[in-house]
Parts: sequence; C-alpha cells; structure tokens
Amino acid sequence: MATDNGSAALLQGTLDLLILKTLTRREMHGYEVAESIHANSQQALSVEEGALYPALHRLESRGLLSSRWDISANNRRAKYYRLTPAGRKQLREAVESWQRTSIAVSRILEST
Amino acid sequence: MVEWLKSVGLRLKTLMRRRQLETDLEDELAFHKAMRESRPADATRHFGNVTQLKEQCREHWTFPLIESFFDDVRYALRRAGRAPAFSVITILLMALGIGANTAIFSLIDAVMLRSLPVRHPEELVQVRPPLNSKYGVLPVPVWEALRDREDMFSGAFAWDQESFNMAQGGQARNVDGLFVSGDYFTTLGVGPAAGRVLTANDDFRGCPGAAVLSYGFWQSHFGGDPDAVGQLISLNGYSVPVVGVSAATFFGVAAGNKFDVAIPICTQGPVANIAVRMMGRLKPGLSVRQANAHLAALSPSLFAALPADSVATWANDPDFRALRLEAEPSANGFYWSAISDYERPLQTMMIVVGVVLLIACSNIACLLLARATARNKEIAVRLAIGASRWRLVRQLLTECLLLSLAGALLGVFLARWAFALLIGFISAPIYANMPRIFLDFSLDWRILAFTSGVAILASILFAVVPSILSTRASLISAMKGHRADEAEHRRGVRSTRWIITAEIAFSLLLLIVSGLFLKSFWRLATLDAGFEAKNVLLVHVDLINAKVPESQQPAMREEILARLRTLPGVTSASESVITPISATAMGGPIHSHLADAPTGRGAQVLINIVSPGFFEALSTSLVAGRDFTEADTAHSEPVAIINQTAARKFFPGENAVGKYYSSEHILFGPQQREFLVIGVVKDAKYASLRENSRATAYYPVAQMRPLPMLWTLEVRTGLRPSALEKPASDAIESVNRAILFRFSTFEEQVNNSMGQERLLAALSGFFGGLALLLATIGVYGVMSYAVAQRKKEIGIRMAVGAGRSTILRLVLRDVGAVLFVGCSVGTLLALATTKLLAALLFGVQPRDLATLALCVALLATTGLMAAYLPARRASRLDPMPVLREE
Repeated sequence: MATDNGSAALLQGTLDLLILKTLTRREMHGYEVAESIHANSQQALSVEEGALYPALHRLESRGLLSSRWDISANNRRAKYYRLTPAGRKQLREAVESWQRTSIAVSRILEST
Repeated sequence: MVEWLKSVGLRLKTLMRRRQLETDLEDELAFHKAMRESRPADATRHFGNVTQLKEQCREHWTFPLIESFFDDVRYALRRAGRAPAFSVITILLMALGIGANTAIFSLIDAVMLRSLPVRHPEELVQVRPPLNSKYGVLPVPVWEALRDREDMFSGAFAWDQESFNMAQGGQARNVDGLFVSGDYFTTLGVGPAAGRVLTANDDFRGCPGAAVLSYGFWQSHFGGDPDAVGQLISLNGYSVPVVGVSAATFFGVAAGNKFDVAIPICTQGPVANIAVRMMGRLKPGLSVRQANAHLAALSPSLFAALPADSVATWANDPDFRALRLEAEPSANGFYWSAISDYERPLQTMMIVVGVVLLIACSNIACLLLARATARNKEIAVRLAIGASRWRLVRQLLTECLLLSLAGALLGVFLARWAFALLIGFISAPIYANMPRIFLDFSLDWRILAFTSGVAILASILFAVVPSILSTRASLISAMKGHRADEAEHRRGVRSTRWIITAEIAFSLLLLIVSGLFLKSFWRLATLDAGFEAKNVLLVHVDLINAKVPESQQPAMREEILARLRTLPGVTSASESVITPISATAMGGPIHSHLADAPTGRGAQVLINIVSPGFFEALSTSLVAGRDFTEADTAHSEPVAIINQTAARKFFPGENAVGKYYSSEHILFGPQQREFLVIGVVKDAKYASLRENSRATAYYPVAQMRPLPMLWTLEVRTGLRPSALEKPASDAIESVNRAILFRFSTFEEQVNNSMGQERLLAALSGFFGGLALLLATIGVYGVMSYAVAQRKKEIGIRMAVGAGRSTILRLVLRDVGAVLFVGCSVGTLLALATTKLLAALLFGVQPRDLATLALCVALLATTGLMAAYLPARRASRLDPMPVLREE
C-alpha cells in the first residue's frame, strides 16, 4: 500500500479493510477496486498494483472473497471479485476494531 | 481452522491446474494494464515490479515453501551436474564423515542402546554382585534361593555360558552353549520357530537333557531343516535330543553374545557348573530401589547358607561373601564384560569421528566459499530482479542439503562395510575362553534418525557461513561485470582463513589423540612381558569329557607331551593349568618363616601348576636355581619356583633358593605343606599385560592332587604354529581317539588381550591420518584461492621490483600465521581434553609432550608443504599479463 505524496502512511491490514469495504456495494474487477478507493478517498489514497493484486489473492485464498471471470463493459475478459459471507463477517469485525483504534489514536493525538 | 482448511484446499486444487492459474494471473494483470493505458492520466505511472507482484500472488495459491523447495532441488540437481568435480568431492567427504559416524554409532547402538527382542524388556533386571566388584556371577544355591522369592520376582531365570564340543572325539568343534534354567525362554517370552522351547518340566535333577537350537545355528548347521527337531546331537560327549528352535530374532540376553545350543542346567553332567548369571522380572509394583533394599537385607543370609568350602575358590573369598547383591535394570541385556570393555573406547571414537565430520565440513565450507566467487554474478542478478536474500540462502542450503544427503546415503553403505571391519577388530574376545563377540549390523530407526540428523546438521554447518557471505554481494560492482570488488574478496579470503584455522586446530587434536593411542599400543605391544609369545602352539585338552579315569589322566597327558616333543620343529613342550594372559588366576599364600614376613592378605600370591619345561616353552628365563625335573615326583620333597617379585617380598636381601616356606591349597591336599624353593624365575605377566609384576609361585604338576581340571599344553616350535596343528592332532589321536582338544596360539591369546588398545590405535590412527590429509588439502585449496585473489596485488609488487623470494615469503608468512594460530588452539584443545583418555592409555601420559611436539611438527610441516605449491605459483607469476587484465 502506498500513498500519494503527503498523505499519511496506512497501518498494515488497512488495505484489506478498504478492499472489503469497496466490494460491499457490488462485484468489481481489480482495476475498479483501485479506482473506487482512489475516488472515494477524494484522491487521497491510490493503490499500487504491486500491493493490490497480492491482497486480492490473499483475501480470496482466505475465503473472504470469491471470484469469477466475465466480460467487462469494454468487452474484455476480466476477473470479478465478490464478498463472501465470511468476508462480510470479517469486514464487520474489522470495521469495529478499526473504529476503536482510530478513536483511541485520535484521543491520544488530541490530548496535549 | 475452517479457513485454513479452505486455503489448503484451494492450494491443493492449484497444484492440479497450475497452468490455468498462471494464465489467469497473466490475463488479470494484462486487463488492468489495458484499462490503465486507456486513461492517459495513469499511463505514465510505473506499473511496478511485475515479476515480484506475480511471485507474491502465487504465494497465496500455492505452498510456496514446499514448491520453492522442489524448484531448489531441481535447480540444485542441475547445478550439481554442471560442477561434477565439486559435487563428487563434497559427496565423498560427507560419505566419509557420515559413514564413520554411522559405523561407530551403530556399534554403540548394538552394544548399548538396543533393547532385547523379548517381551517387555523394560521389566527385566539382572541380579548380581555390584558392577564395580570383580564378581559377576552367583553360586547356584544363591540363585535357587532367590528364584523362590515370590514376593520379589514374577519370573526369574538363570543361565551360564559354556563352550560345548559337538565332536565325538579328536579336534574340537566348539559351539556357544548355554545352560539355562527351565524358565529361561518362558520368562523372556521367547517362542519356538520350530518344535518347542524348554520349560520348567525339562529342568529337574537327573533330567535326561533336551537341546534348543538358536535360529542362526539351526540355519547354518542344519540348513533350517525341520527334521533337525528330534535328532540327537553330541555335546561334550553326551547325546542330547533337539526339541526345538528358538525364535529368529532371539540371540541371547547379552548384547554381542549369541548362543548356538541351550540345554537345561540340570544336564550338568559334563562340566562342573558352579556359577550362574541371573535375570528376572520384578513383581508388578516393586520398584528397583525396593528390590535393592530387599536384596541388601537378604544377602548376608544367602551367603551364610553357602557351604563353607565351595569348589569354586572365589565363592569362598570373604570379600565375595561380604557383598550385597543388586538388581540392575537390563532392558538392553545383561552387562557382559567382554563387550562393556568396549564402551569407553566406543564413546571416545564417537567423539573422534564427530571431529572428523567437523573437519570434512570445514573443507567443504572452504570449497563453497571459493565457488561462491564464481557465482557472484548469478547471485547479484537474482537479487537485482527481486529475489529476497533469505530465498537465495534457502536455495544454497538446499543445494548443500542435497549433497549432504547423497553423502549420507553413500555413507550408510560405507558404514555397513566399516561395521564388518570393526566387528573383525572386536570380535576376538579380550579374554581367552570367552565366546566370540557377535554383533549384527541392522538399520533400525535409531541409526536412520542419527544418520539423517547428522547429514542435516552437517549441511547446515558447512553451508550457512558461505551462503550468508555469498548473498551479501555488492550488487553494483558485480553487475558492472567486475570480478567483484576487493573488499568482497578480502572478506571471502578472511572467512576461509578462519575456517581453515579451525580445521587445523581440530586436525591437530585428532593427530594428538591418535598419537597417544598409537604410543599406548606400541608401549603395550613392545613391553617386556617376561615371555616370548611367538611360535607357541597351545593345545587345550579335555580328558574329562573323554571319560578317561582321573587316575590315568596325568600319565595320559605325559604320554601326549612325550609324543609332541618328538615332532619335527618342536623345541619344547609343557603343560599348565593357566597360560599367561588368559585372564584367569589362582591364588594361594606363602608363609615365610622370616620374622617380619607378610601375613594374611599380604601373604597371598598368584599360583600356577606347571610341568617341567614350562619356562623353557614360554622362554621365561630362570634367574637362579633349577627348573622342575622328572625327579620331582609325588614321593619326593615338595618344591616350588617363585618369581623375582615373590623372592624380594618374602626373602628380602637373601637368596631365596634353598629356603622353605609353607602354604595350603586344595590342590596340595588337606594339610598345610612345606615347600623348598628350588628356583627363581624372571617376572612375567600373569593374567594381563597391563598388570604390574605380582608375586607368583609355581608348583610341579606331579606333586599335586589330580583334580578334574582343563589343562593347556604349550608347544614351542621353530615353525609356524599353525603348521604344527596337523602332526599334533595325529599325535594326540594316536594316544586316544576319544580325547577332545582345541588349538590356539599363544601369540593370538596375547594379541587378543590388547584388543581395546589395538582398536583404539587402528581407528584413531586411521582418523588421525585422514584429518592430516584433509587439513593438507584444505590448506592447499585455501592458499590457491588466496593467491588467485591476490594476483593483482602480487603483479603490482613484482612490477615495482619485488623478487620471487619476497613473494614466496609473503604467501608462506600468510600460511605460517594460519598454521600458528591453528596449532596453538589445537594444542590448547588437546591439553584440555586428553585427560579424559587417561583410563584408556597404557604407559603414556595424557599430556605426553613428545607426542604433542611430534604432532605439531608433523602438521606444521605438511601444512607448509601444501602451501608451497601455490606460493611457488605466485612467485613465478608474470606481472605483465596480470596488470594488463585489469
């Protein structure tokens, strides 16, 4: 996971969380996932391929994602990823834990 | 867990459709790239390291460690094929090192670690006098009293080993026999392979006798014929029916001690059987400690119940009767002295072969380091395209592991062969009259685990340093096509130098150890034993089993001796109860009439009963007086000959010849007798070569009571003793065809007694030589490498005017430093450790300076010689081409 110039480095495991969250809305291929994260973070985060694809494959091998091949909008063969029930469960837990962590971190940062 | 299973499932599936997934990944990435290229904003961005990305993706659908291991193996095999010389040398070195370790370990396994192949061996205990006493056996009444202690043993049995003669007359055909109690096989849980085993019903006083053959004997002697059961065999002249064959795996209850034929103890016709060994299974719930407490409490009453005057002299010894019996857990078998004598030497040798392996490993490590230079570029390229260092180290380790395992495989074959060789060394029993040591090489799980463990450990040992060093290559210089930069090389040279220094230290240690053992053996072999062992044939005659009446036995032996003396080549012949160095002894007192003569235990001396000519036959010189003659008969005055030590001890400052002393012994008759000393002989070793001279008295056969004893005849000949066997057996058979006899040579008997020292000297000599050779090769290799690396420097030096001798000195000084440090460390190591060998050395101090100095000189000289070749090559270097090359 890399960030654009100036933005904060992300904690490890955050990319997994972002991917899972992104895929809650619909099935996507890898490029769409990257685009979606980029767009939804208001261009703050950009995901490098070097990190994205290993992450997708890792999540798939853990059974959090499933995949299938289909024809994309521009008529090419593409691999689509979708959240599995296990993935949803994992996302819920990860979001909770993320929020707890982020609250804790903010408190520390706000205290003087 | 479920998740993990799923992921394993996925990975397994992947294994099946590997190619599909590869193309899928290809497609997925191509799609991404295409999408991005359609958007100009992204097109300029790097895509990153695609190879690495793919590698990372693959890791999730495969077993990366295992797959990469197989890749590594494939790659290693290819590489090994491409560098056959290196591979062959490595495999040979490993085979040597691992083979030696496996051979010694399998001996240790066979002798000390393997459990008896019987039911629940862990329950077995041996009941015996304490291990550190000199006694190992029990009188029969003691065994019988213990057997009936149902509060201690759930089962117990006793046995005695004896040589049985299967010939019905003439030259003996001896087999290893066992007298066993009726419960022997049933308590051990050993069943029959044919017929039946002995039971309690076979063992009662006056029993007719029944024989059980061992499986091995049944195979070798009867060809495994089932009809052997029911046949009669002749044992020491008695016919005994064969009732069965014991299970194939069963060899007896003492490691290294097989039996051929077992018969019940009650069949004690042939040999007066007075001592047995005992084992049993403790009653459930009874601990060894409790059993020992019982035995300690019981011992006095057991010994008190013995008849006051047993036939066996040792059983009369108050020392023996004061002992407390002990129970000793014996899952590995009965503690048998013939084999336990080899425990310490074997442990020592295990350490020695361990060091040999270390030396072999350091040699390989040096080779690897030198080779790593050649691989610098390959490694740099792989690092550059994104291989992790750990990945490369893993691959190098795999290569080494493969070579090491190949070496181990070869080593096991070597070990098999070496084991046979070792058995040849130790199978001849140290003590005469003991059965040959019998051990089998079998690859059990323990040996296999040991060998593979050693192989893996060794490969790690020799591979770790080189692989870490070689993957630390500086990318840039290597990629630029430099032969690698100077710092890199200096590091390589420095590491090889450390390794070779360690190797020299270890080699020196082994050399010193072998030097000590060789010197110890040489001291023992060349000491003045007081007799001349060469060219003496020993004839062990058994008139008892030939059923010759007791009264006629002395005359018959005289007759045999007379005929032997007439044989061509025979210079003298005699008879005695004990031949020297047979580890048997008899004792009796000398009561001198001097006021301050030793009394009590101090008056005890060794005795032997000999015929006239005994000292001549053994070449023991008479210092004063005369030898026994035909004139010393039962009716003449009792006479004795004593040795120098006895003369000094009992007749100090006087001429012992002509003096009288009194003594008593069961052989002299019921009363004390008065003896006239007629001669003094030179001190000679009695029971063992290692002993100090002990006071000894010799008595003439003719004046002794005829007791049923086994006699040995000593025949000195000018020919080879073995050439005398045929005419000697003809001569004995011409006296009486029923006489049983067996030949051996005195030299053999003496040599066998040095078995331990010979084994140590031969093995350590071999390994010491090997260590020297390896160290020489190592020094040569490392110096060649160093010289090759310093070519440029040497070229420059020569260009600016350094002469050949300067260069020669430069290189040799280098070696000198390595040798100096190595030898110093090795000497310190030796000084610190050789104390442990003290108990195994004879006549040489563990810190023997002469040996130490000689070994250092030897190693340093060979080391310098090995380094001279590369040094000379360096000094003959033509500076111009070298400088132009740069």
